[in-house]
Formats: sequence, structure tokens, C-alpha cells
Amino acid sequence: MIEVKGLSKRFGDLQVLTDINAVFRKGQVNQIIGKSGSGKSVLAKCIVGLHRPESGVVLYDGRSFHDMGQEEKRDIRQRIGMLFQGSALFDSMTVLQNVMFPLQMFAQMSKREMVDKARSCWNG
Amino acid sequence: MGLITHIGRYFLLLKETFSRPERLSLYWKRTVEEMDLLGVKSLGIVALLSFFMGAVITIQTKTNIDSPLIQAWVVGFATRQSTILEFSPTIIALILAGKVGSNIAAEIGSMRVSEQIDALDIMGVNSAGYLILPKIMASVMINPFLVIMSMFLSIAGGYIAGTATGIVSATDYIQGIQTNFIQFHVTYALIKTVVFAFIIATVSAYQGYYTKGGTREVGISSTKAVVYSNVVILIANYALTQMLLI
Repeated sequence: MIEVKGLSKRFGDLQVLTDINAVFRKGQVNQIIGKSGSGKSVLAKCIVGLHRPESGVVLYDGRSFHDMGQEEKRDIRQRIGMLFQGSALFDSMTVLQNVMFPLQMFAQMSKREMVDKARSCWNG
Repeated sequence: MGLITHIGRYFLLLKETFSRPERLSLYWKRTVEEMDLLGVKSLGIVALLSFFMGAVITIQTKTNIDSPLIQAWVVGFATRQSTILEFSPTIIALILAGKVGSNIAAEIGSMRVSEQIDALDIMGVNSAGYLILPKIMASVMINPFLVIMSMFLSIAGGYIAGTATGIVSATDYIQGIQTNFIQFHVTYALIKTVVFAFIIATVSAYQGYYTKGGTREVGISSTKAVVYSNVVILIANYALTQMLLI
């Protein structure tokens, strides 16, 4: 379960998020809706730890994400998928290399297995 | 943001960079690629610069010490000493700070503004380690070879310029470059080279990694990378010279 408690975030003089509270339970599908510039992406980035909030906490199963060590944060992030607005593809790599990248980093597979697994993603 | 904050953040980034790599073989592969990009592709400019640098040192030395009281071999001696002690390690480092430093800052900065670094972080990849460590390793390993090549070419440039213009004979020049040779001076130059390579890679990577904004800010980061790398190299040059030669 992911909990957001009293989360506030500002960039310079611009207050983007003020005292946000939310609970995301396992198995639920949640939507964050708001007009352009209202801070939806900033909230998502705070939840996954890409932005550090000025106040408030993000709890993963009761543990504050921002107080975790780097190793622990990485373990949690390996279970998170995030699609960025600007796609954030590694533009110096081919599509296949992009899809294979996490496998190369973390999986114990042969190159052949990685290629097959990656191709199966877009072949369905 | 104050200087102390930048220094603190720089060292925190270094700590993150040198933390445990996820996949050593992948890091090594990237290191080899970076050695080609940052080192092998700099061979041409280093060779050209070194050759003409040696030629100019020889001609300037001769025109400045043109006295019957000074022996002719001093031209070769001065060229060798200037080249080994200062010109090859320091001038080449400053040139590489411009070429390689801007490349590193622009590459990492572009990845930052296009959220590619965020994507790495989200995957649980140590983005600082994955992007910066191979560049540091590549620079530290390849730059000493560039500087050794630079030393040879600079001294050869001095020989060709000196003998072609007739300001020094081949015998005198060769006697000069062999006189009072102190092996430690080469070691000193290589120690400087390794330190400068580390500075170029890390200062430039720091500028790129913390880029905020868009393409304009990437350009600003590249400029800052070159300027700050040069400043830190010059300060380190002074400190190392005082520590190692006095």
C-alpha cells in the first residue's frame, strides 16, 4: 500500500502541491485528474521519489520512502513502472535495446533469451 | 546556490557514482565505448596540437636564449622539460576539458531534460553510476596514453622545426633532450594527467547531471563544464606541483 500524507511541494516561489493526502491500495486502479499545470506529474514524481517534497511523507507499506537508503529505494523502484510524458526513451539506443535494457541490467538471461523476451513484448 | 552547496552536492554525486554497480560487465562495456568516444576520437586534435606546440617551444626558446654563453643543446633540453612538465599534461588537459568536458555535460544534460535519467532512476538503476562511472574510468585510463603520445609528438615537432629552420642542429637537439633526464618528471606528469582526467569527467558530469530546464540550459551546462573544469585543473596543477616537485 502506498500512502501520501500532508505532501507539499514548491519550486522556488511557486507552490505546486499543498497538503496532499491519498491512499493507493494494492489491486486498485486510481486516477489523478486535474487541469494542465495543476501538479499531477509533480505528485507522481514525488510518489516515486524523483522529487523530494518540502513537507509530508510518502509511505510504502508504512515505511517513509525518503528516509530509506539508496539500496532500499532501488529495490522498491524496480517494482514500479512509469510512463513519462516525453516518452524518455534512450535515444542513442534502438527500440529493441530500449526494451531489453532492464533485462540487461537486472535479469540473469542469455542475450538470445533477452531478445526473445523483448520481441514478445511488441508481438503480444 | 552557494559554492559550499555545489561542493557538497558534487561529493554526494561522487559517492553515488562509486556505489555498487548493478552489472559489472555492462559497465565495462560502456567504459570501452567511452574510451573510444573520449580518448581515441581525441587523438587527432591532441597529435596536431602537440606537434605544433613542440615546434613553437623550440623556436621561441632559441630566439629567447640566443647567446654565445648558452650551449646549443639547451634548446632541446628546454623543449623536453617544458613539454613533459607542463605543456603536455596541462595544456592537453585544458584542450580535453573543452572537447570532452562539453561532450559529457551535453550528453548527460540532454538525458536529464528529456527525463531519461528519471527513467533510469525509476527502473532502480543507479543513474549516476551507470552514466558517470564509465566516463571517469575511461578518461582516467585513456588520458595517460594521450599525454605520452603528446610528449613524443611535441618533442618530435621541436626536432623537425628546429632542424628544418636550421636554428638547432640534430646533434645538439638530441643531446639536449637526453641531458639531465629525471624519470620522476614523467611520473609527475602522469599523476597530473590522471587527476586532471578525473576532474574533467566528474566536474562536467556534475554540470550535466544537475541540468534543469531545456536545451538552452544544456548549452549553459556545457559552457559551465568547460569553465569550471579549467579553473579546477589550474588550481589542482598548482597544488600538485607544490606537493610533488618541491
